[in-house]
Amino acid sequence: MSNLFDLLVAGLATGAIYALVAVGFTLLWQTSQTINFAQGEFVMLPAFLMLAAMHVGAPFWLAIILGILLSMILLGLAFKMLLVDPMMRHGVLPLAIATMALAIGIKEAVKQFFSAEASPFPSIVPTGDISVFGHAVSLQSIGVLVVAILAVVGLTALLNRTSLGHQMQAAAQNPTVARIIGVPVERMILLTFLINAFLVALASLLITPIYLAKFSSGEVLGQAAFIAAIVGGFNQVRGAIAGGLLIGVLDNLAASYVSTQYRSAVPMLVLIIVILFRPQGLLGRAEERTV
Amino acid sequence: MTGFAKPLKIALGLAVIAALIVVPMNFNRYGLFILSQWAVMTIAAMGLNLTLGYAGQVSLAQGAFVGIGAYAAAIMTTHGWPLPAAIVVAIVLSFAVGWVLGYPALRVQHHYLAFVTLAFSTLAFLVFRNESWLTGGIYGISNIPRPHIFGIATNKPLPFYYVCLGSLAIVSLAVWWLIRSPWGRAFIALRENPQRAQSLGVDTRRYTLMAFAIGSALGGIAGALYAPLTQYIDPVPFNLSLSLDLLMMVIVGERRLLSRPLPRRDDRSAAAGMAALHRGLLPDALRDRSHAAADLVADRYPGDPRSLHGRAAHQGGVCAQGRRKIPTGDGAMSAVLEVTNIKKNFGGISAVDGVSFDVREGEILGLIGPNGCGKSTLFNCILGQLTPSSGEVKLDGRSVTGLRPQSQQARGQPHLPAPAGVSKTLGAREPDPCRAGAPGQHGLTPRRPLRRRADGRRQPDDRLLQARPSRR
Repeated sequence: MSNLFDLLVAGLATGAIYALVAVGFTLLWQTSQTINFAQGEFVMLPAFLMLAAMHVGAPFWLAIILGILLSMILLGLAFKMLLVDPMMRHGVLPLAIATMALAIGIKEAVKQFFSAEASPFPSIVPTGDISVFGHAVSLQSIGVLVVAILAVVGLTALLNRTSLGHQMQAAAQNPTVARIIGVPVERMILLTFLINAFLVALASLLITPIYLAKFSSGEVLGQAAFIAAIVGGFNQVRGAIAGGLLIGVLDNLAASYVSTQYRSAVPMLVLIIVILFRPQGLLGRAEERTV
Repeated sequence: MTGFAKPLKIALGLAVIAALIVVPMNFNRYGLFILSQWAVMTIAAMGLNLTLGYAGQVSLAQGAFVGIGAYAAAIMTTHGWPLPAAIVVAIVLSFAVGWVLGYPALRVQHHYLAFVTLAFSTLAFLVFRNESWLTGGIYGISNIPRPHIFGIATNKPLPFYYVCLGSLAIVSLAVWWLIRSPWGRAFIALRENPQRAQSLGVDTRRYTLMAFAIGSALGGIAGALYAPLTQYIDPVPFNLSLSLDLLMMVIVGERRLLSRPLPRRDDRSAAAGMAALHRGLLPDALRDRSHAAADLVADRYPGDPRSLHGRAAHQGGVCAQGRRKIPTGDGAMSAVLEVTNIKKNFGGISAVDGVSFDVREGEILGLIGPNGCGKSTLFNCILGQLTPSSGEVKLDGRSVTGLRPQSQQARGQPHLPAPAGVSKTLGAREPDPCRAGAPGQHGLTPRRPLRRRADGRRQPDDRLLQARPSRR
């Protein structure tokens, strides 16, 4: 039983990170119909930005701030202005293909300019274990969970409690009407890109200490977040959160109870089953776009 | 598009073919390998093009089908089977898997299918890697023999290049034939306007599956050639990135000979712009392709439930009905088509509310109403494009309510041609696959969908077709 408990905690921690990435993914989809196949690389890159900042002598806390700011400029602003806006006119599929190309570009650039080797990354949470209900639980898992929960609660509060959030929801649900009633739709879309960039930078900060900074680590992450978003419901923030947690837990359970060789098959099977029988996702509602 | 005169084009094509045969004779090993690989991957890309361009389904699994073909060929040829047998097995296997994988295409929207195929791609990779008793696992399968063709060994790079090139030629011809056959026309009709295709009797479900499965089978052929080409396979080449590469090949090569993929169905403004272009620039003879874009838009999105008009019309009680219901049993002529109390609700909005009428032999009935009052919705209910919420449609006294359009067509319900529409993917000179002469002569389906009716006639109901306006 203690094994199961450990697996659950570890699964929830990974799942929380998946959820962050998946939430950003759904935000982009809702406001601008961008299917971002580079989302995994978006998580991989900020860690390298932070490492680069530390290389030039910045202390860790400053590197984090710089990394997040740079991510928001590069992965939020520049991504929207230079790639999404020009490609959007050509339709959803060409844009999706362009993000695939971007993913390859980011990956190769990191390999070229940084290193093909995995680099260690300092953790924001002290390592060590604490005892919960008589089980040893790593502080890192707890820290990841706490930060992720805070981020999600903050985002939900922003979306549901503030005027800004309501404007974002309006822009996502019906851009035309939103424009008529005076919502600056373009600015709201830009804001979601910035939020997405912030979320992926945060996810990067949380996950890189566990899996090391490596140019190829985005592939697995991107796919997991992708599946989480679809399984939970492509058009719901809470769906993405539930999907992320579910995939994280399933992944960890599958690794120890099914087979390590087929652990990544389990989320895929879940994905296929969900798409076949509940294409709107577990928590999603059909034919509806909400933030 | 037609920059060259036709003879010049043919000459150019022949020159390219001759160059492909002659020039590589001086190539070194590596050059020949690259060219052979090009030939093999072109086969796979042509398959994906069928799936994407003709069934409109985005597949991220073509690489997996190449893998299935490659493993089938590798396993069989290393156990002493000849390559042609392995190719047949590869075709059958990937066709069958493609058919099954195509089923989600019928249930979900197109980008979700991309996700399903993506998942399938990963699953296939895991099977290749983990089932080492069959596939050799991460160590792969080595020493894959190259075949003897007509007694000639193809172990050297050049002969095997010709094998690849020859296969490419055969597959190209087969695809070319397919696109021009009734099957191909049905595929094009499906891509251009699924609703019209359906009302012409094309079983859209079957054809979507078919395009998907044939596309996958071509992937299998490519794989079966890839294995003897590299003579060593492991799981890595068949991961997702091969699928992505193939997808990019097809999309980048969008305007090529056999490939006009990417039906941008949702791009209404482009359709409108195109229509304007057609009208302004084309000679009258070509005009018939450019019927009013407005109609196109209206008809593509029939009875939009969110339309304010629909609601207003309903509230005003003007739901489209051309004339009063004529009392039945007035003897002289029997009703061919009886529509009784049809209702159609979209969520809380009722678009059609209890419409009844019948059409008798030789009669033309007009249905008039303001925009958005539910005319098209009513027609779609009658034709089976939509299932009515309640009510009944009878043709010749038999209920056809809710039958799918192609089965209705088979029973003699003539199609309702939507406005010709403006194709975004076909050239102005190309024949519209949906343009029908008389129903039953459209040649869209390999098997004529018309069945013998109860009274022995094979044609659809000519009483409706030869109708004259009635004055009453």
